[in-house]
Amino acid sequence: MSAPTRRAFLGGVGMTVAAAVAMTLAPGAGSRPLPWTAPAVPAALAGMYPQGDWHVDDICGHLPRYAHPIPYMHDTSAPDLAALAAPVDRQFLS
Amino acid sequence: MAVDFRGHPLFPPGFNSPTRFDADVYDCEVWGQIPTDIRGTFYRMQCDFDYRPPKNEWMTGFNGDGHISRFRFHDGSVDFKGRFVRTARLMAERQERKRLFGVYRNPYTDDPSVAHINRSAANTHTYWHGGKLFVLKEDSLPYYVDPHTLETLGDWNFHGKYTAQTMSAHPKIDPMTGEMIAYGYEAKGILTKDIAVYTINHSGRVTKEVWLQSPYLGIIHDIAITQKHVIIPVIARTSSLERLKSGEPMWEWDGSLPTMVGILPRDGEAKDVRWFKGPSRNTLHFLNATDRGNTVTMELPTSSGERDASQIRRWTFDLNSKSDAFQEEVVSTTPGFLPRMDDRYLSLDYRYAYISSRVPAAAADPKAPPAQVVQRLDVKTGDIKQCAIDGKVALQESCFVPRANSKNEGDGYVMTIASNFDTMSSDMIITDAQHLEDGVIATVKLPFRLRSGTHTNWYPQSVLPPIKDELS
Repeated sequence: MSAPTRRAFLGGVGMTVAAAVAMTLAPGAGSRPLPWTAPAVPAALAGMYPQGDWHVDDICGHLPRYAHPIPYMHDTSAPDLAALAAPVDRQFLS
Repeated sequence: MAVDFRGHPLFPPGFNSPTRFDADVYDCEVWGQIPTDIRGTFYRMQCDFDYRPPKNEWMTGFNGDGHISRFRFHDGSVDFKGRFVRTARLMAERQERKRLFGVYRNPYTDDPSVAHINRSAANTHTYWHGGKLFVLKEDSLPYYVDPHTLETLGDWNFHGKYTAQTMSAHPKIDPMTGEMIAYGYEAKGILTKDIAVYTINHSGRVTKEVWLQSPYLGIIHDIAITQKHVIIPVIARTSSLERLKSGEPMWEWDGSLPTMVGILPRDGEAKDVRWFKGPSRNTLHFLNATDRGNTVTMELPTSSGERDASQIRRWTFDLNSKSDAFQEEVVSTTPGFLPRMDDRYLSLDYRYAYISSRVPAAAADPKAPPAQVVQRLDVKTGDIKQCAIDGKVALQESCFVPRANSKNEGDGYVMTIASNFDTMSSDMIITDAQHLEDGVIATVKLPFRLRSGTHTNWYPQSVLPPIKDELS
C-alpha cells in the first residue's frame, strides 16, 4: 500500500469528523468504530489527579513528574529532636 | 566550569534531582520474607544526569544518561548494583567535564565536536536475548552490558546484519520460539519515515528484515506481536526539520494527525502490510495482542486526546474487512499507565495485566496525593484485585516474576520500585500476584533514592550466565 501524504490524511480527518458519533466510555459497552472526535472524559474522571492528564510523564508512570517538586513530602511541623535522638546523642542537642 | 543544576526547570529540589553515582549494596536490608523460589535478577533503567542539559530540554528527563539497576535474588537475599551505562556520549562529556549533547533527539543543538559520536543515552529498557543484556534507546543501536557486573561492553549491530540506524527500546520476545521481533523507526536517519522490522533468532542471529514506510513521521515507541502478526501503531507525536532547526526537542503533539496502525504478517514482506486508520490517540506502550481467527486484538493504555484521562482499551482489527477503520472498547478506567503481563503469554491468549496505578485517596482532603496501588487487571472481565502501598510513595513500573517451576499464567510475584517520599529513599515492593489483597510480602530497603525509572525486566538465574562475582 502506498504511503498517503500528510495532506491526504488531514483531508480524510476533515471529511470524517462530520460523521462522527459520540462513544460512551463504559467498560463492557462493546467495541465500535473509533469516533473522529474525541469522546468527552466522564465527569467523574475530569480533573482527577490520580488519572493524571496523560502528560508524557504519566504515560511513563512518573509521579511526580520529572519537572515537578514534591509538595506533599515535607513535614513542616518542627520535629521533636530530643525524641528522635538516641540518648547518647542528646548531649549534642542545643 | 563545575556542575551546577540549580535553577534548571527540570530539576526542582526533590526526588528527581540527579543522583549521579554508581552504587553497590551487598545483602540489602529486607523487611519481611522474600520467598526462596525467587531466584534471578530484576533489572530496571532510569535516566540520570551527569551534566546540566540546555534550558529548553524536553521536560521529561528522557534525555538523561542511562543508569541501570540490578537486584539479584538468591535464597531470600538481595544484592543491589547500580551503574551508569558508559556510553560514548557520556564518556565524551566526562572527558570535557561539560554537557556536549543538546536537547532530546536534536543533533542541531549538539556541540560540533560530537557530530560523529553515537547520541544514544542508553536509558530506556533492558532485554536479555541471544546471550547479551541489551540496554536500549530508540534513537540508536543497542548497547550491551555484563548481566552481573553491569560493565558496559559496547554497542551491537547483530553481526552486521541489523542495518537500520535505530532499534526501539521495545522489541518483543516470542515465548514460543525465543525469537526477538525488533524494529527501528527513523531507521535511515533522523526524520526519515523508514521502519525496519527484524526477526532475530534465539541465538541472536538476524533471520528476516523488512523495510516499510511509515504513513507519516510519528512516534513509534512500542509495537505488539501476535503469533502471526506484528502490530505497528504510529502515534500523533510528530516532528519536522523546522522544529529541529529551531532548537526544540524532537516531539510535539499534533492532534490533527490520525492514529495509523500497520499490521504486518510475521512471514510477510513490505507489500503485505495493511494500514488501519483512526483518530489521534495518545499512547506509547502496549500491553499485548492476540490473533482471534482473522481479527487481531490489542490491549493498551490510551487516551482520546493529548491530556485526557488514560484508560485500558482494546483495539480490534478485522482483517476480513475492506474498511481501514478499527474498533475500540474500554476494558478498564484504571489509569494503568505502564501495564505489564506474564511475558510467557506474550502474543498468546492471556488474562492478566499488572499495573502500578493510582486511585483517589481515602482521605477527605481533595488535595491529598492519590493512593498508590499494585493492581491485577483481568482483561477479559475488567475485574481488578489490588494491594495498596502505605506511606507517601509513588510506584514505578511493575514487573511480573513467575514462580519457579510453574507454567500457569499469573502464578508468581509482582515487583515494583516505590519512591518513598517520607524517607527520600527507594523501596522494592514484592507482592504475590495471585493474592494482592493479602498485602506486601517483603520490602527491599535501599539507603538512597532511585529516580523515577523507565522500564523493568526479570530474568531467572537459569537463563543468565553463572554468577562469578558472588561477593561483589
